[in-house]
Amino acid sequence: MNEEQSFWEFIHEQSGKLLDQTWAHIGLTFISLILALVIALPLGVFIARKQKLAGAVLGFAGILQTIPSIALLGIMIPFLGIGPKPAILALFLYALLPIIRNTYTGITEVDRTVKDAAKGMGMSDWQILTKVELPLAFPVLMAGIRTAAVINIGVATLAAYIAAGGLGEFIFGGIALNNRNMILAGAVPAAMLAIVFDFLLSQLQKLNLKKINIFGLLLPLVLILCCSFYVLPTKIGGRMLAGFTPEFMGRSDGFLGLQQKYNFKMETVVISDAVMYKAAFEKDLDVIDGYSTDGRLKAYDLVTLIDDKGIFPPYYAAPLVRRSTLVAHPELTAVLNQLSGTINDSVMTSLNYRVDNLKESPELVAKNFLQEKGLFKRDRLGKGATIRIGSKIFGEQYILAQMYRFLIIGNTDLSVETKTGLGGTKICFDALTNNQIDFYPEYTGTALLVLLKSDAKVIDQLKGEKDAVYKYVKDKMRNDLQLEWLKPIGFNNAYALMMRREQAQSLRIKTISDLTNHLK
Amino acid sequence: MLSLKNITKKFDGRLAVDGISFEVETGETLVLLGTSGCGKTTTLRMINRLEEPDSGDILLDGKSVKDFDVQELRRGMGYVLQNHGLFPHYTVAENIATVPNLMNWDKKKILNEMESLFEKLNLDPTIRDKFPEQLSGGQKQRVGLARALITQPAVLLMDEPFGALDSITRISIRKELKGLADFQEKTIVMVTHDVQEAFDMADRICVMDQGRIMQLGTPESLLFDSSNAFVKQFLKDQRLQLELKTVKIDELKSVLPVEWYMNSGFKSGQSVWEVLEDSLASGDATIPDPGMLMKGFFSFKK
Ligand SMILES: Nc1ncnc2c1ncn2[C@@H]1O[C@H](COP(=O)(O)OP(=O)(O)OP(=O)(O)O)[C@@H](O)[C@H]1O
Ligand SMILES: [Mg+2]
Repeated sequence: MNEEQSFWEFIHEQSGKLLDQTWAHIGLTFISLILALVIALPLGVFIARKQKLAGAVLGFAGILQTIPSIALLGIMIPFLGIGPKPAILALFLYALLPIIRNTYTGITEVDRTVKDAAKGMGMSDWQILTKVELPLAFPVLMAGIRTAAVINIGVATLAAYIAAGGLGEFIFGGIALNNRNMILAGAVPAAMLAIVFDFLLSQLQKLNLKKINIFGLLLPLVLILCCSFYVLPTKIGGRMLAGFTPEFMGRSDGFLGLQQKYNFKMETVVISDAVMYKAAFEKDLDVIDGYSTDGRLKAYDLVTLIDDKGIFPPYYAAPLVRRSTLVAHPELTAVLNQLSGTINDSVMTSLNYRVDNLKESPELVAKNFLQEKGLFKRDRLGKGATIRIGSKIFGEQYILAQMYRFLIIGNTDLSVETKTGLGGTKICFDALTNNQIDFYPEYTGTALLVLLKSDAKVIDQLKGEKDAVYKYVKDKMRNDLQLEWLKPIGFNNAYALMMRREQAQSLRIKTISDLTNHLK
Repeated sequence: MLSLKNITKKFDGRLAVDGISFEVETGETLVLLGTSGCGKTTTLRMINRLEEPDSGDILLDGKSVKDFDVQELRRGMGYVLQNHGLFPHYTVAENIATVPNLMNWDKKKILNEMESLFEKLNLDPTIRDKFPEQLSGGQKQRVGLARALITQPAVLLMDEPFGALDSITRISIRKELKGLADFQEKTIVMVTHDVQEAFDMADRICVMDQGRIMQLGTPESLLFDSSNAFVKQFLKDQRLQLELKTVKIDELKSVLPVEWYMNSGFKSGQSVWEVLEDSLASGDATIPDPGMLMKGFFSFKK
């Protein structure tokens, strides 16, 4: 009951956004559907006339259909950038097959005698098509259009990945934030759209065949009207455009904080983290959010803006260890703390770059780094107890896990088992508290917000002070959970706003305040 | 006048129609008769150019059909299809009005014509707004006929127009049609594989086999004047009935006793078959004496 209430509350609170997203969703679906109709209908008629080409055309449209939607969107980006254009093109391609196929089948299935009769009565080819074939193929044709519409409403949720808007913004934001209400706020309207449009089109399909002429005129008009609701911020006249991940958009220490503390008013689109950096590099976007140690920062020559008002909590990384493990193996503390102070933001960024972008193995990168710092020691092949190191499922964590492995086997007689790729924060943390791993690298900010779910009062008190946060989570976890935070490694993998280096330099933007001032 | 000059047509290298020539006089009914697959439909469809002949020419009133605008040509010829070919998405009225609509007739004229056709073809006016799937087979055939007749075309092409009907309905529609004045004036080419039907409807019959004409002539000449083995074989089973239907009672004048001839109540112009039918129907088989009639018939044949 509570859950339900808060769902309606969420809807109520976000009704503006929800409405925007719904219109964008409808717009995306129907612009692409109309484009598909304009191409697919004549093409279907054409291959019904030239049956030799039917196999090739249907085969090609079929292949388009089998490309996974995410991949198709990805393929579009180099040519069309981000935003509605590639999304519409992708949706258009998906809608082609059902419409071509059903037009073709509908027309070819019209009884030969009936076509013959039409010809024998002296109808022209056009008259045969419009008075006999299309009306008789209409139910099949409409079934194709319905299929296409439903497919498009589904696939259009993915448009949120490439800054084309739609209900996917809530859905993917909700997934990233583990916020059920947000997921439902996107998924329920999307499902309803599919049901409603399928129903409306099915009614159209059943209409008395003679009324179709009127509706045949009305239908495109209504659809075009739908499309006109589709308004999206795009880069016009040199205005700057920001692109943020769905997760960032929904977080109080993300976009909401930007709006409150910085009065951030830039045109903003929602985009997937997978394409965001590239889009910034290609000048489709000017400002993005990201993690300050992401290797792509280096790959795409982006700079982070200083968070001068401290809205992003510090995400210092440090090993989070079970107390029982430290008690059993007291030598571990000193060994693990060897990394402390050796890695700052830019060093971590470079290491991540080698793994994420140059595709070097985390093990090699970790080893090279330790050798450089003089911390690498030969494996002592110790036969002692096994220490289980966990890591989340991304490059930085893999690298850190490997570094810790080398330090332990080089400095102690303990042996090591790495359990890398434990998925997200929650999985790692559960593994730790359930004694399935002994430690893993965690971030103070994540601990504060996600693991401890601290309330706003606590967060405010800490004021984003890195040491205060560190002390708070350390004390809290020691007392409540018997977990120990060792010394911070030094770098800060926090949210940050990023810009292209040359643009930031030419506009003299160093801090987020500089950016908001520039926008005024 | 319609004339076919040495028409051939191949499908996939096989001759479907092989050197066919015939003429149909204005107002004449020519029936193409033959077994299934002998090329009747193909021949008919070349007349309104639904198929193009590989060689030969077809002339309508002296002008090659190729020189007509193809749509004009088709609109000018009534066409009744083998399986009625009604448009399933049109009502009966819309089906019948197809060609007038293509020719932009005004609504009133269409309505008037339709009304009179409904009457002539014995069509129940309540089916006007029904769809073909709601009709009986006989109604469909009649609607198909009405659709072909509404513009009163000078030429009528009919491909097994009664094909889908039981024999009783068939015979009654045939009779009705033959009685229509519209029908008698038209130049008609009709296809059938039913011998009785051919003899019933035809001024002349063209017997076809494997794409060729076996014999072309009046029903009498086919019966009494045929040297063609195929034709003889073809007519064998129904020969007696056909002959009785073909010979007119007046022709037996010379071989029947005068008093029989005077006392029986037949009408001049009736066939021997019809007189026999009447006498059986009256229940009084002695007047006129059918035995006498048959005797007369056989001595006439000799
Ligand atoms: N469109 C076509 N393509 C290929 N072959 C055809 C085509 N139309 C007719 N034929 C062939 O031509 C021959 C004559 O066919 P047609 O339809 O003229 O016969 P029909 O005398 O009307 O027979 P039925 O009494 O069964 O209607 C047949 O062997 C038939 O298979
Ligand atoms: Mg036929």
